[in-house]
Amino acid sequence: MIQAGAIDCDIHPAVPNTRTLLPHLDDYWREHILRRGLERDNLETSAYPVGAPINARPDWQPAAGPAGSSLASLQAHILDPMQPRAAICNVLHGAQMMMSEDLSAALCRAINNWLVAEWLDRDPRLRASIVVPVHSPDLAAEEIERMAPDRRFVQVLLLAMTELPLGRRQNWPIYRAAERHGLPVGIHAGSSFRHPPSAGGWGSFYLEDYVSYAQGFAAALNSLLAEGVFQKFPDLRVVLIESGVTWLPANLWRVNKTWRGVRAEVPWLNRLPADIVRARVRLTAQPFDAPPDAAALATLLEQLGSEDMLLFATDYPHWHYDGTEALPPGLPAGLLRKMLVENALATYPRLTAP
Amino acid sequence: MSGNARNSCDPEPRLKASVQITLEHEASALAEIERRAGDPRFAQVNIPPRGLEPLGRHRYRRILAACAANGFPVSLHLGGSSGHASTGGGWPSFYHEEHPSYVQSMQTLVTSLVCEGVFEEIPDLKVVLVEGGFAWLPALAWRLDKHWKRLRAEVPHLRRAPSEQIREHIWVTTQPIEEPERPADMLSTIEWIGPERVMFSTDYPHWDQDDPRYAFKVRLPEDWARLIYRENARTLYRLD
Amino acid sequence: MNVTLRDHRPDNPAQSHLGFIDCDVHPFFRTPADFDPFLSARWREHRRSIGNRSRQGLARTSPYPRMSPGNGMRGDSWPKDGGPPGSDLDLMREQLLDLFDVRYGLLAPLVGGAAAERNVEFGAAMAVAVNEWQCAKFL
Repeated sequence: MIQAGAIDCDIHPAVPNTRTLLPHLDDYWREHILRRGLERDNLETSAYPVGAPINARPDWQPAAGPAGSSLASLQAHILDPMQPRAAICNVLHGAQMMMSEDLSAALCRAINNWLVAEWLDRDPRLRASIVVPVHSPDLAAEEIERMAPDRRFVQVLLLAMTELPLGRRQNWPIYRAAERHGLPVGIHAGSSFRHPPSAGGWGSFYLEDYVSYAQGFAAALNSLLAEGVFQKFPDLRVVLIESGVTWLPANLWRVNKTWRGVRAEVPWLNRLPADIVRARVRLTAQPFDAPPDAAALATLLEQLGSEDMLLFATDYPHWHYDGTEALPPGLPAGLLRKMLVENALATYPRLTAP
Repeated sequence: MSGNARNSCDPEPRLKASVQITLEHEASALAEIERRAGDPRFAQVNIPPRGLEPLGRHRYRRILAACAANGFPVSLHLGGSSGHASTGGGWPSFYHEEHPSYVQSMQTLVTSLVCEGVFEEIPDLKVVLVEGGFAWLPALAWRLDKHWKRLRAEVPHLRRAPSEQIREHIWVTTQPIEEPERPADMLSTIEWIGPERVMFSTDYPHWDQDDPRYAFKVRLPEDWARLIYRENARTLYRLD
Repeated sequence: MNVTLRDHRPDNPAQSHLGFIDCDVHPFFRTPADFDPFLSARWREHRRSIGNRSRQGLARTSPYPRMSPGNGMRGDSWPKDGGPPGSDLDLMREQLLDLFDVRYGLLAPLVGGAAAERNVEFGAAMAVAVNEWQCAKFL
């Protein structure tokens, strides 16, 4: 059982249907969406099929609508029994997949307005990430500017796999705006599938895709490092959400080794990549792709090399554990204490500042 | 005929089905083509023009050969979800761009079938391009002919001019009907393609459906009209 | 498009279109469960849980949505029973087959996701199901 006052860094409210967003659109976009009949579609993402068992824990399925769409259910399943100090809402939605940058931006604005009205205003424990049109950095930055004055928004939400590797300079307006407002960038698992999930093409199964999301994180992180995002934006923090965690040490070894050999190509990358990651990157710990035995887990945690990096998360309503066993088993008490509260407070300045 | 006299459970002998297959699962595709062969309810095999690779590639050859061997024309209705950007320059933003880009997918398809020598290898193959327009086809044939002459050493398996192969093996449907700036130019377009290769279609119930009474903005010669509205499809699909 | 034409006189006095063969007619399902009778229990369950998976970011919607409801349907083609356009054979007769005295209509079922399905075993099962469904529902 988790003590009261923990910080849950990843929960997923779901937009129950597109009609729900209509009151949160401006007049033009409401009419536009109605004329196209888009309110009849729920714009579910391919990255998170709503019926897949991993995306909806059976006992968290509400009576009606997709898992995560009911605040009352979230309160009954997580907020009331666990009594977290805060829980951060990360909305996964097809708004980010739209090819039209304007339509994507309009839907993201509606989702953020809906988050305020239907979630943040209704439970003081809730915080949220700003949903942005990830393929349109200028419009994404505008949306960050629009929402940033509401201090309950504590992060900017991106996807690991979009049209361009995340570090590419075309994306920098997003990081500039996030840094200016003290908002970490939360990179969530998934893809907008503008490309296959790997250079090898399209696999057959959702299981393959889901497992490959860890490779997507590795590529995104390497891109942020190589393009110099951490040097260009010295106050920016990055949170890897729903990444599985344990892929990271081996990836850091590889990046360090490459850097030692070819760092002349990227002269702005002036520190050992693993040191940058330990200082600036955080990871939510659900799912936690744990090794099979305690000794291996202990070794793995040593390899991670920092007790500051892991953030507690339930990943509600995704199904990674049963009952109330939201903490990966076998973690040492000192790490757990930091993971449950301190690390999140250090990562998200808006959780403490008024 | 009165629609009210029937109910929707009654058979509708005027409708013909198209065989759906999964191009990327050859064994099941071949089995399904053979299962439906000889069934008069099925008129053709449907394949989306946008696939993992251009349709002329060797990996699809046995499926195309099976269609021909079993008397099925191959119908390529615009669309498909290939995972490739809809233009060679990347993903466009708007449906306003996506809709015309379907034409480019059709052009890629014709180019692939010709250049890979599919029509030379499968002389009975009949291909129907559905909803991809048709006014572009003559220029593509001219372009293929012109550059084939210079580059034919690269494709020695092509013995006949691309335009001849296209005229023999490819049928087009009319909707969304082309609208030349000078309506009479429709006649030269049809002449260049061959009036025996153009077939009428409505696309019911889509937004851009064509009405057979008004689609053509120019009077068709009576013998062409007969071919386009009826006889070409009747011959191709062996309908009575 | 959806403009009502006031002048219904054919522009072709010979009415050469009458009795034409329509090479592109789209049948639709009322609900995705319409395919279930033609799927094995294993694939019925798969359809409900994982569902169709193609190579795009949206699970059930085109990334380029059309400009009218139903992903580009004619405004007057929605059946009264609430199903989507193309799902009601009576209305198809009224608006197409009988109206224009269509001799034959070739169905192009853009449904079921068989061709684009990433799991080709599921795609093959959906192809067979759509073929059976066409025969059972429309022929």
